[in-house]
Amino acid sequence: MLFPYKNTSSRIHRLDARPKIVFVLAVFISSILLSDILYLSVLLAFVLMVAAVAHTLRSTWSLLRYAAFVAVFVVLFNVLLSSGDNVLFMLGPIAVTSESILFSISMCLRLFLAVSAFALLSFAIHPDEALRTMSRVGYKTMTALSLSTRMYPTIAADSRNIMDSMRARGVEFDSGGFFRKLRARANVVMPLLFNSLDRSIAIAEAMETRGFGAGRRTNYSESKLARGQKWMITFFIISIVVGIVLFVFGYGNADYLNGAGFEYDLGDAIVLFAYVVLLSPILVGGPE
Amino acid sequence: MITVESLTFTYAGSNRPVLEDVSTQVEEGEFVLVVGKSGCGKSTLCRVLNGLIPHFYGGILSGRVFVDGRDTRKTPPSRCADLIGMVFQDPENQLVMTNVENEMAFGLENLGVPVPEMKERVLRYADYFDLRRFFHRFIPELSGGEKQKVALGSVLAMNPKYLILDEPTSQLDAENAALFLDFLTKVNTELKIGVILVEHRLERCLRYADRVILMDNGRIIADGPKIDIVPSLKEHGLIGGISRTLSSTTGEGELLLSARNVHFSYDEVSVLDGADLDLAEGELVAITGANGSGKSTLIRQLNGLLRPQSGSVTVLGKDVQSVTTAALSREIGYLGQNPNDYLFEETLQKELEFTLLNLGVDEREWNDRIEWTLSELDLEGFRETFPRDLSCGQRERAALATVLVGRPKILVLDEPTRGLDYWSKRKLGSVLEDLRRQGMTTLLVTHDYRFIAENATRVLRLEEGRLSESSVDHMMFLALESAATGGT
Repeated sequence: MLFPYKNTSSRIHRLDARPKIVFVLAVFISSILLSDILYLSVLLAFVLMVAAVAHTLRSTWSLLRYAAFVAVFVVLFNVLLSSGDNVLFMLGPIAVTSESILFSISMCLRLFLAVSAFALLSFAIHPDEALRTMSRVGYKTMTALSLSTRMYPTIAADSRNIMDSMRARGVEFDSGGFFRKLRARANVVMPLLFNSLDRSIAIAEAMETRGFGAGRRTNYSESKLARGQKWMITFFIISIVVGIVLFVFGYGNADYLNGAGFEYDLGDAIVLFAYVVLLSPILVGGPE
Repeated sequence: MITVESLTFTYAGSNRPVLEDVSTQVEEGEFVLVVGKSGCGKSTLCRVLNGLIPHFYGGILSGRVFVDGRDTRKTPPSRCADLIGMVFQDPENQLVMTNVENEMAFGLENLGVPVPEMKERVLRYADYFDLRRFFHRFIPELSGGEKQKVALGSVLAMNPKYLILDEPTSQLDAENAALFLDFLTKVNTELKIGVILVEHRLERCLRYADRVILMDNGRIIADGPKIDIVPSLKEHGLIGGISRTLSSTTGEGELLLSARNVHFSYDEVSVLDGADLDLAEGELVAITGANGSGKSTLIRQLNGLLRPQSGSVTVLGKDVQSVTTAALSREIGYLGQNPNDYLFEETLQKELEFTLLNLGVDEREWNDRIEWTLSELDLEGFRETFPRDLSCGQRERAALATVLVGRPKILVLDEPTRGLDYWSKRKLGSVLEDLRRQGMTTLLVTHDYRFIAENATRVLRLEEGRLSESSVDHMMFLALESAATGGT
């Protein structure tokens, strides 16, 4: 099944979409604000723990494997182009410095943190719920997004069928060199595009006849948030504010390219602890 | 009441009206069947009734349509949605949300129905259509019949007075089509909802209708109670007996394809369990079987699109395990269920050239092959046409042309009559018979008993993963039974 959402009954899945979306937002923002390796590592470990509680660790891990490919380029790029005085070793004419390595690690952790938060959004929030929650901001845009999710398996099946029809017309997808395979696969693009256009016109027609855009709409799952979930959202919003304050005061930030290292004091420990505590209500999840 | 007054409509970019001086009325609670050849304007009429024309499709419109007094020229379809619902042909392309419960609520949310009433209606219609058991299932995981039932339930939850259905059973097998039409009748009789059903398989639905509208070339040529219209339907060849001219054979020609003890499973669910198949030159063999019995899986083993997990398939002496599908395509032509998957070039000629290029056919042979193929399939007039602009029946033949131009010895067709009207099926049947007389061997999978009864030389039934011989006479019986009962 190509649909990314995992329909399990974990406590994270049972939680209303709204606190989950604010949590993901808080983690996203922290991945932008923070650059210190320790801070990022602790947050990443925490988000992976949430994924474990949601039973989506395996799927998150698959996404992180893709992110690792990008990370390789991030490391190479920084090692080749970044400067620094503490040379660790020479790679031919290129000096590999501890500054560039630490900076690369920090960038990769930011990437992994953002991807893990995105994974929670994809795997643990039902797309329809996400649509309903975010529709308060822009309903039409969110419908388009939900529809893309809904049509993803259909378009993937279309793509497989088109490849089969091409095979039946003599197109070799499985033999030959890289460029030959690439050229063969390019043949799939046009029929897939035509089929998708036909589908989008048909769906738009169906939506019109079901009153889409007729006027003020109501919301089927207009459930009131429980008090505990309101508190959760409050905690997550506070964590965003705290993150911004920390950024302003220089906590959780390390300028590795200018020689910053691993120097921490009690203040860092308290701040980091408080930050995780603010995010930890997510682990309580939703009621049975 | 829906009132259509002197309506004429021409699509933008066309100079021929699709509807011409159409006038009719539909009362609340009526069951009206709209019939006619492909391209006669049935689907356009549907879109005029709920305002999709002129609000969604551009063109030149004259005349008026009123739905309970609302002028559709001034009222967009979204604002007619509380009065008039529509179910479309393809179940895949009309469901918006990801699960059944949310899908049923979608239209109600759009109409601004208060939440408590919305919840009550969703549950009521879910029970009515027996949808509660897959309330939380992902829509992409439902079968075609289930999806179409969800589409119907979701539209009816909006409490419309009229329901328009544009060939809603064309993508369904006979069994699911009959179930769907039974539900539709229940809706009409119990809820007193006016039904306007566009269909070309009259044997499926004639018995349900109170009134029939017969269309031809954009005009209504007959409109009245079913009993009065039957002579016109016969005159236009819409209903009639089953004609079979060829005799049954048991495959006396040279053996071209042989499958032995084929096993195949998806995720440990066994689909083929020791299937055996022999195909001899000049045969037209039909494989039938229940939905999900593995018919498509079986024929995909024959050209290497799927490989047997055990057992063997030999095509003209080649073991399919040792060659690619592309290499086998010179011997065995395969046409999948959706002709659109085969059509993407600017012209039909280029489409055929694409196949010839891939098969490595000498360029000097191209013109002869293209001419032969287009003439066999009666498509000579469409050589320079964009293939996706062709009608449904022509598109099926155009897709077949893209395979046939490679001059394979065997044709394998997956549900080739799906969505085709009576005339297009007859045309396809005569094309296949003509090819058979020239030595072509055809294997097809279909639920269409009538097509089998009229065209197959041999029939096989796939059941519990194995093939067994059935008879053309039995298919004839099933086709006649289907015509008599309007169902399976």
